[in-house]
Amino acid sequence: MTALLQVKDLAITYRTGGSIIPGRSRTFDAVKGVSFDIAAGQGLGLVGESGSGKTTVGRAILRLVKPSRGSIKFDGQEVTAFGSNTPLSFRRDVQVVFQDPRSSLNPRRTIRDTLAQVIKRHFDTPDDETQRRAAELLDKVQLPSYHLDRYPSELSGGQQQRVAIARALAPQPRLLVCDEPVSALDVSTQSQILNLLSDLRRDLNLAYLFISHDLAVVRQVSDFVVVMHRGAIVEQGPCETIYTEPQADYTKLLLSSVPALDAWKRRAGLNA
Amino acid sequence: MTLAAEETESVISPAGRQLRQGNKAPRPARRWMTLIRREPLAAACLAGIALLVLIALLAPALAPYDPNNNDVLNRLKGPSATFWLGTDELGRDLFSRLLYGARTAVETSFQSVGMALLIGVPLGLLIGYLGGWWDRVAMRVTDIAQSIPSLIFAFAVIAILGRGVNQTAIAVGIVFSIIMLRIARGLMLRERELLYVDAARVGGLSTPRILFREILPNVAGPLIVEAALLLGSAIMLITMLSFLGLGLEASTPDWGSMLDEARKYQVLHPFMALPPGLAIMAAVLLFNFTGDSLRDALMGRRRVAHRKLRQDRRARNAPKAKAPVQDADTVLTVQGLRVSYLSESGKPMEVLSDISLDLHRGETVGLVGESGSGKSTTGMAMVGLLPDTASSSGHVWLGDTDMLTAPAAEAAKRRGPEIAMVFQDPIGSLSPVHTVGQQLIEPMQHHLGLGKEEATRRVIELLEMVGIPNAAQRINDYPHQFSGGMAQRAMIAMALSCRPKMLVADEPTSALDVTVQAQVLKLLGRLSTEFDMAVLLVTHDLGVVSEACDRVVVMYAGEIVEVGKVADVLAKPRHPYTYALLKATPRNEAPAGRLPTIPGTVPPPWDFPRGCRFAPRCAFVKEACTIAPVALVDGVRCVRAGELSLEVGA
Ligand SMILES: Nc1ncnc2c1ncn2[C@@H]1O[C@H](COP(=O)(O)OP(=O)(O)O)[C@@H](O)[C@H]1O
Ligand code: SF4
Ligand SMILES: [Mg+2]
Repeated sequence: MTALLQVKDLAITYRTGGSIIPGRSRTFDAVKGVSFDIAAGQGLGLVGESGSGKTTVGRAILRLVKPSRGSIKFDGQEVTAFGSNTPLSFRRDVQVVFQDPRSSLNPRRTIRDTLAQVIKRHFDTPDDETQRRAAELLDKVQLPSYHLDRYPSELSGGQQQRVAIARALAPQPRLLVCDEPVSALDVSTQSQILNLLSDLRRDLNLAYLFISHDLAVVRQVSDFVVVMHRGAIVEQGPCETIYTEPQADYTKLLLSSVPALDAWKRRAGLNA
Repeated sequence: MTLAAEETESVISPAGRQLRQGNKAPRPARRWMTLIRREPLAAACLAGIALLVLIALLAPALAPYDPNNNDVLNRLKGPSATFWLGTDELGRDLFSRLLYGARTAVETSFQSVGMALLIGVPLGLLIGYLGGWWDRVAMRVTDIAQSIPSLIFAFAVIAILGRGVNQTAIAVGIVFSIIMLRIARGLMLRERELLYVDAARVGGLSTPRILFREILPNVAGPLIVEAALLLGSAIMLITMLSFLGLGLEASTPDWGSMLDEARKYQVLHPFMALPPGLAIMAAVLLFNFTGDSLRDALMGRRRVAHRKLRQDRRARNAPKAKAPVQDADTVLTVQGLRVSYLSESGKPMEVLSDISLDLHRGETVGLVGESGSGKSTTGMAMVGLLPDTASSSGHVWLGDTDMLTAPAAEAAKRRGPEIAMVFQDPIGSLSPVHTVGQQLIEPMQHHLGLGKEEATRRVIELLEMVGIPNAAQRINDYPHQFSGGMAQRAMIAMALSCRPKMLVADEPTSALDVTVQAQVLKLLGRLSTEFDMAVLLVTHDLGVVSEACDRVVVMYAGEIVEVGKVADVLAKPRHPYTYALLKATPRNEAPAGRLPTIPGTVPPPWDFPRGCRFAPRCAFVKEACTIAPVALVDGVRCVRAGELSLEVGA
C-alpha cells in the first residue's frame, strides 16, 4: 500500500537577514533532512520542543513555506513541483487547524460567511445548498446552528476552535494538519476537542499530522510518533513503542520531564 | 453525533454585542444618535466636514459676487454691509473668494488623498503581502523618494505637469501615495502574520480575494484615520504651494494665494490676512481632530471609564483598617478580597469574590483553575499591581502594610525586599534595549544601597545560583540573546535579588518547553527551601501542582472552591470541580477510550450563576445547589461536600 503522504529528506532554510542582493543574506536551517510517511486514515504525531522545526514541516506540507530540498508526495503527486499556483484539488485534500483559534478566524466575518466562502470556492454550490452544508458542518463539530450568525469574538476559545475545524472539514479533506490545536485551550476544553478529532477521524477516515509539544496529548491521538529535535528526527515508531520503550536519550529526557499528576506520591515518599 | 453532552455555553461579550449591532444597525437615525452620545467630538468633526463640503458645493449659490470680479473703486475696503469681509487690492469680494477658496481646497485635497488611497493602498498591500525581494526593492525606492521634502517633490512634479487644480492635486497625490503605500505595507506585514490569512490560503482562495476581501476590511480602520490626517496635510501643502505662487493658476480663487496677497498689503490693510488664515487653520484642525477622534473610537473609549474608577477606588479605601494579628510563620494574609473591572459597556463586573488566604514561610502554594477564573488578578492584587481599571475591596496584609490600599509609593517599596514576582513571558518582561546585567544590577544598588561593584558581584552570584553558566560574561548580553528558559532563570534571580519573604510566580513555566519547565520547577523548589520563602505558583496545570506544591488552592469563576494539602486534594478531591479538572487533565498513559471532559466553559463575570457558580457544568448538581451562593466551609465550597465521595481511581 502506498502512503497518502510521503515526506522524503525534507530540508527548509529560512533567510534571517534581508538584503536585495541574492546570496548576501544570513540563513537558518530549520529542518534538516526529515522523512516520514502517513497512510490514509492514520494519525501521525510530530513531537518536539519549541524551535525543533515541527511547525515548519507542517507549513511546508501546506505549501506555506518553500522547501530548499527534498520531496513531499501527496497521493503520488509531487507537491513541491506545483509552482506558484497550488491546484485547487490539493487545497481540497489537505487542510489545517492552527493553534490560536482567535487569530485563525477573520474577525470581520460571521461563522456563516467563513464557512460559506470555502464551500463555494470548492464546490460552486447554489446558495441554499451552501447554507445547508454550512449548518451541517457546524453540526459535525457539535455546535448548534444559531452560532452561524455570530462573529468569532462572541465565541469562547473552544467554540472558535470547533469553527476552525468545521472550516477545515468544508472541502472534505483527506489529510488534516493540526498544529498545536489544543495548546491554547484549557484542559477541560482540550479533551472536548481531542474527543471530537478522534470521532471525526473515525467517521470520515481522515489522516492526521498532529503537531504538538505535549507528549500526553499526542499519545491520545496518534498511531505513529515522530520525535524531532533541532530540525532533525531523533526517533520514530509506533506510538506505544515510543512511549514505553524509548530508544533515543532525547526521547527519554522528554518523557521524564512531563509533569506527572501523581508526582505527589513520589514526593511524599521522599519526604517521609 | 449528538449535541447534548458537550453543548457549550455561548459566551457573548458586551464588546461582541456592540460589534454586531454596529454591523447591521437597526435604524440609521438611532445609530447617529448613539454616535453623538458616545463620541461627541467625532460627531462634531463629521458635522464640520459635512459643512465644509456643503460650502464647497454651494459656493456659486452662496457667494454674493463673482470671486474674480474686479471693482477698482472699492479696493482694499474693510468689512461692511456690502462686502462682508471687505475687498482685496483689485476690489474683489473677500467673502466670495473665501467660499470659492473652500471649493478649491476641498477639490484638491480630496482628489490628492483619493489618489493616494487608490494607488498607494493597493500597491502597499500587495508589496507587504508578497514580501521578500519585492518588498526590499519597493522600500528602497520609497526611501529615496521620501528623502526629498514633500514641498520640493510636489514642486518638481508641477514643473513637469504645469500649473492647475488637477496638476496640483496629482503632484500632492503622488507624495501621499508614497506615504500611504508605506502605511498600508506596514499594516499588511502585521496582518499577514495572523493565521486567518494562512487559513485563507490553505482554503484555496485567490490572492486578490485574500487581499481585498479578507485583509482590507481588517486594516480599513487605521487607513481611514490616516486618510483623514492626510486631508489636513493636503490643505497645508496646497495652500503653501499657492502661497509661494506655485501650483494653482492665478485665476483660481484659493486660500494660499489670498494669504500671499494679504502679505503684500499687510501694512496698508492688515485685516485681509485674517479670513484665509483662519480658514486654513480651521480646516487643518478639523481634519486632524477627525483623524484623532476616529483613532480613539477605534481603540475603544477606556479613558473616561478609567478616570472614574480610579476615583472610586480612592474613595472606598479611605477608612484605615488595622492589620490582623499574624503568627510568626505567616507572610501574607488575604482577607475578603473583591476585585471588579469595568466591562466594555461601562458596567463594573466582579471577577474576584471574597478571596481569603494565608501564605506561610517555606511553603509553595499552587493556585489552579481554568483561564478566566481570576488567578492572575489574585496574584496582581498580592503585589499591589492591579491595573488602574480595577476597583477593589478587602485587604492584602504583608506584615502591617495593606498592599491593596497602601499609597503607590509605599507598595513599591515593599516590592523587591519583601514580595517579588515573575511572569509568564520572561523575555517580554525584560527591556530589550538594556543588557541583562544593567537590569539586574541597578535595582540591586537601589534597594540594598550597594556600590556598583558589589552589586555586580552579587548579581553574578545570583545568576550562577539559578544555573546560568558563564554568568560573568552573560550579564553583558541583551535579553534576546537569552533562551526562554535562561531568561526565566534570570527573572527569578532578579526577583530574589533582595531576598524577599514571598514570591508570586504567574504561570512561570507555561511558555517554556517541558524539559526546561522541569528544571525551572526544581529550581523554584530549591530556592523556596533555601530562602525559607513563601511561593504562590499560579498555574493551569495540576501536573505542575503535583510536582512542585505543598498546598493547593482551586479557583473557579472568581471564587476559591477548594483548599488543602496537595496530597489530600489530589488523592481525594472534595469539590466536584477539582474532581472534574483532575479527570480531564491529560495523563501520559495509553489511550483508554474517550477522554473525560468538563462540559461547557467558565462563564464570563457578567454571567455568573446566582447559586453555586459551577452548577451548570457539575455532574452532581441538585436543586439545592442553585438557590443561593454557597459558602466556603472547611476548605470546600459545595453544598454536597459531606455526602459525595469522589475517588479519582488509580
Ligand atoms: N485589565 C482587565 N480589564 C478587564 N477585565 C479583565 C482585566 N484583566 C482580567 N480581566 C477579566 O477578569 C477575569 C479574571 O481574569 P484573570 O485574573 O486573568 O484570570 P486567570 O489568570 O485565572 O486566567 C476574566 O474574566 C478576565 O477577562
Ligand atoms: S454545590 Fe452542587 S452544583 Fe455546586 S459543585 Fe457542589 S454539587 Fe456541584
Ligand atoms: Mg492568568
